[in-house]
Amino acid sequence: MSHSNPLLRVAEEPAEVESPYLRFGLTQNPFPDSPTIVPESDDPRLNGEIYHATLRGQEQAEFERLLISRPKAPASRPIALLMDFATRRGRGIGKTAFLIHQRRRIMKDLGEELTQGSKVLLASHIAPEGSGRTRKFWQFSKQLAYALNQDCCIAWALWRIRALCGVIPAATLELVNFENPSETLGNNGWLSENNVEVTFSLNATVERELRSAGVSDPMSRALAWHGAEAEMFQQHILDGMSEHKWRQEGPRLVFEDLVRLFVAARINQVVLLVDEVEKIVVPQNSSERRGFVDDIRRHFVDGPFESVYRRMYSLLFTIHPYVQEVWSPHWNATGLDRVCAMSGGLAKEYTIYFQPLRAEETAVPLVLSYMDHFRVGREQRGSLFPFDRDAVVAALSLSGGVPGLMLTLLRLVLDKAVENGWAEVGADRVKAIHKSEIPVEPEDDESRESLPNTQIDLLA
Amino acid sequence: MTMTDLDQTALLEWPQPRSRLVGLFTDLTLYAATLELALEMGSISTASLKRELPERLQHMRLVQHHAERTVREVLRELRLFGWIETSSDEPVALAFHTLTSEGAEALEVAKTNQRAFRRLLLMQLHRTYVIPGWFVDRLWKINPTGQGEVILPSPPPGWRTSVRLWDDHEWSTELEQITCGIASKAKAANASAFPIDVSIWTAAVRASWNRLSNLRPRQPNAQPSASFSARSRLTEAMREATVKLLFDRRPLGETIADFPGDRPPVYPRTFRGWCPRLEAVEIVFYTDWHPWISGRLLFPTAVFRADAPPERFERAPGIFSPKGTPFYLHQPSWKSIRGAFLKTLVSVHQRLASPLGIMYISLLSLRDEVCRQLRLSAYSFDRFLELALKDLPSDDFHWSVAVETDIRKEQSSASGQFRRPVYIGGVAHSLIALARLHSDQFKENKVVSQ
Repeated sequence: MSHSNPLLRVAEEPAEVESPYLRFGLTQNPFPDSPTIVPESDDPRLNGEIYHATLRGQEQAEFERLLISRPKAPASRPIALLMDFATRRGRGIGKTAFLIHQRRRIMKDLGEELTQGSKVLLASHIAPEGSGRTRKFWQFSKQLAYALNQDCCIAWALWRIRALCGVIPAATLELVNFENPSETLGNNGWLSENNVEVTFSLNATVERELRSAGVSDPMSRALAWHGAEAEMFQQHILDGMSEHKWRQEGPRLVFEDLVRLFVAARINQVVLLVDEVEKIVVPQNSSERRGFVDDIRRHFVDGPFESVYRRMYSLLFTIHPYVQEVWSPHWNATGLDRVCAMSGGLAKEYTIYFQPLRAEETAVPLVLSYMDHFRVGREQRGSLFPFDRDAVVAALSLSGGVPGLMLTLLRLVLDKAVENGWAEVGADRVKAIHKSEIPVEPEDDESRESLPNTQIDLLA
Repeated sequence: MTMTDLDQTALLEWPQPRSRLVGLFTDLTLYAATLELALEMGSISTASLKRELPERLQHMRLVQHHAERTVREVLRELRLFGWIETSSDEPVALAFHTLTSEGAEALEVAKTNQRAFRRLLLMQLHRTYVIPGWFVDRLWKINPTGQGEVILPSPPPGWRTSVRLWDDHEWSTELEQITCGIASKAKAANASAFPIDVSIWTAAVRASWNRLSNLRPRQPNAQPSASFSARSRLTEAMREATVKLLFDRRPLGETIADFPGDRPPVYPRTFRGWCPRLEAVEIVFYTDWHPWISGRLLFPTAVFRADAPPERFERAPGIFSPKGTPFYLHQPSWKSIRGAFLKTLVSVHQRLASPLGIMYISLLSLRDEVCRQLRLSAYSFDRFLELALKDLPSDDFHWSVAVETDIRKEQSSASGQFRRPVYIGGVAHSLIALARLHSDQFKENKVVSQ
C-alpha cells in the first residue's frame, strides 16, 4: 500500500451521518458531557447559555438584594458570599452557571433593567487559578485585571468614553450596534472607514480625558490606544507586565487606574463574581490567609484606594465548604465579619445559599430547557420524549436535587436508549442505570463539657 | 494460701504469652504484602523484602522505604503465626523464608475478604501475644460503668512552650498546674474514664518527667547546648504515667495480677504500637483528635459476654477470658443500626457545627464521636456512612448529606498524617455537612425511624 505525502495529506470530509438521536427528534444528545461550565466554549451545553433562570429565582433575588444598587432599596453590600447548602455532593449544583448568567444579565444592557435605569453596571466572572498561583493578593489583582479585560469591562468603559468624547460624528454613532460595539467602536479600522481620525484625534482625546480623571500617564496612554480591543490590551499591556511589575503595580492598576477609568466612563458599579475561592484559600498557609484577608479589607473596604472612596467594586465570593472553616478565624480577626459575616447567625444576611432543586417542581422545566434547544422541529418543543415526567423527576431526585449530576445521568440514559433501541424511557430505566453506576465520589481548649452519653450498651 | 486458692488465682490469670517481643510497626497491611511477595518470589529474606516492598500509603502518609527493623519484625511475627517458615535455624535477619500452607490460605483470605483477614489476624495476634483479649478486658475493668472508655490526657493544644536547654528540666509550677488542670478536664469530660486521683497522677507524671530528664540526649556527641521541647517531654511523661497506672499487671487499686511474673503486659513504648494494631483488627477505637478531649480517647468495640444477638455481634473464635467467657466484636447489621446511626450523625454534626457557626465540619472528628457513642469501629463507620449515602434521600431521613475530599490543615501535619481518614468507595474523605431539607417540618426526633 502506497502512503500519501504526510506533509500534504488532509483529513477527509466526514460523510453525512444521520444523528442517532434523530429518532427521538433531537439533533444530538442535549445533555452536557462535561461536569463543569466552560464559558469560552461554543457549545451551549457547556458555556452556560442554556439556563433556566426561574429555577433559581430565590437565589437570584438574594443576589440582587445583596449586590445590586437600586432606587428605594437598601444599599448593596461591598462583599457577599455564595455557598451551596449542604447538597449531597457540592459540585454540579449550578453555582458557576448562575454566576455566568448574572454576568450576562448585567452586561447585556449594563444593568439598565436590573437597576430600573438608575445605574450603569459592569460585571466580571473571575475563576482563580489553582495550584497556589493565587495565594498572594497581587496574583489575585492580576487575575482581576485579566478578567475585567476578557469580560470587556475595560473595553466597555473605553467604548463609552469614545462615544461620549465628541470626536465621533453623530452619523457614525448611529451605525454602531450598541448590543456589541466591539466590531464598531472597538474596531479602529471601522472607525477610520467611517470618517473618524483615530490616532491623533480620538485616541489623543481619550488619553487626555483619562489623564484629567486621574489615571496615571502610562496607563492613560495604554488604555486609550489599546483598551478598546480586549485582545490588543492583553497582548500589548497585560502580557507585557513582568511578575515584578504585577507585584509592585498590579493592585494600583486595578484599584486606582481602572476605577478612575470606570468613573470617567460614568460607570457606577462593577460586580466581581469570584468563583472557586477554595483555589485561593486552600494552598495558602496561615500567614498568607491572614495577609490576603487583610488586603481584601484594605482594597475593598477601608484602605486608601480609589476603589474604596468610590465604592466601585462589589465582591461575590463563591465559598467552598472548607473555605468557610479555614478563612473564618482570619476573616473575623481582620474585622471583615462586620462587613460580611462569614460564620455565625449573621452569615445568612450576607450569603446566597444554593439549595438542591426540588425534583417535583423543577425537573421538567430544567430538562426541557436542554431538550428544546436541540429539537429538530419547533413543534416538538415542550415534549420530554423519549422520557416521561416520572423519569426526569426520578433522575433529579436520585441526583439529590443537584442539576449537574442529573444532566450527567440523563446523558448516560439517552445514550443507553440509543444503544439498546429503547422506544421510550421511564423512571424504571433511569433508576436501573443510576443503580448500576459506581458512585464516585480545632480544638475547644476551654471547653469543660462532659461527653454525651453513649447510645449503645455492649452488655445489653 | 490453700491449694484451692492457688488454683482459683491461676484460673483468673491470663496465659503466659508465646512471645513478648512485639513488633512496633502499625501498618498491618504489611503482613499481606509480605505473604504476596513470598508467593511471587518463592522465598524472601530481610534484604529482599526491604528491597521489594513497594511504596505504600499509610493513612495520609506516603511510606517510600521500610526500615530494616520493621521488615525483620514483620518476618518474625509471620513466623510466629506459622504463615512463613525457614528450613534452617538462622536468625530472622539472615534466613530465607517460604510460605506455609497456612500462609497461602491467609493470603487468599487477604485477597478476597479483608474483613475475614482482619479476624484471622486478630486470632493470630491473640494466640501469640494474648494482649488483644487482655487489653479489651482491662479497658472494661478500668471503667466498667462507662463501657471501657478511657482518657489518657495530654497537654492542652493551646499550651505554647519555648525550647529548653537539656539541663533546664526543673519541674515548675507551670508544669504542675498544666498537669492538674488537664486531669481535672479529663474528669469533667468523663470521670469514670479517668479514674486516677489527681494527686496520684500528678506525682506519677512528675516522676516520669524526672526520669526522662535524666536520660542522655539521643543525638550522638550531644553538646551541653542540646535542647528539648517541654511540650513533647510533658506529653511523653503523661502518657508514661497513665500507661503505668492503668495498664500494669494489676488493675488500678487491685492486688491480684492479670499475668504471672513481674513484667508489665505493655510498656509505654509497646502501648504506642498496640493501639493502632488493635484498632486495625476492630476491637478498640482510639483518637488523639477528639474535639472535646485533650489527649487520647480509647474505648473497646468488643466485649466478653456469655452470648450475644447475632444481628449486633460477631463471635471471635478462639478468644476467651480466663473465666472462659467468649469474645464478641460489636459488628451490627445495617438494618439494626441504621436508625441510631442516622440520628447520631445529625446530633453530633449539630453539636460540632453550631459553636463554629459553619456547615461543613471535619468528617474525622464527627466519625470519632459517632463511633464513641455507638461503639463502632472505624471500618464499620466507613461502611455505614457509605450505605447511608446510597440510601439517601429517603422518606424517613429529611436531611441532605454532603461529603468532600479536601485535605484539611491538620491532616497535612506530621502527626495528622497518621490519623485514619474516612474511606467512602475507597476514597479518603474529610468534610461533611448536613442540612435539613426544605420540606422538612418534622422535629428532629421524629425524623429517623427507630
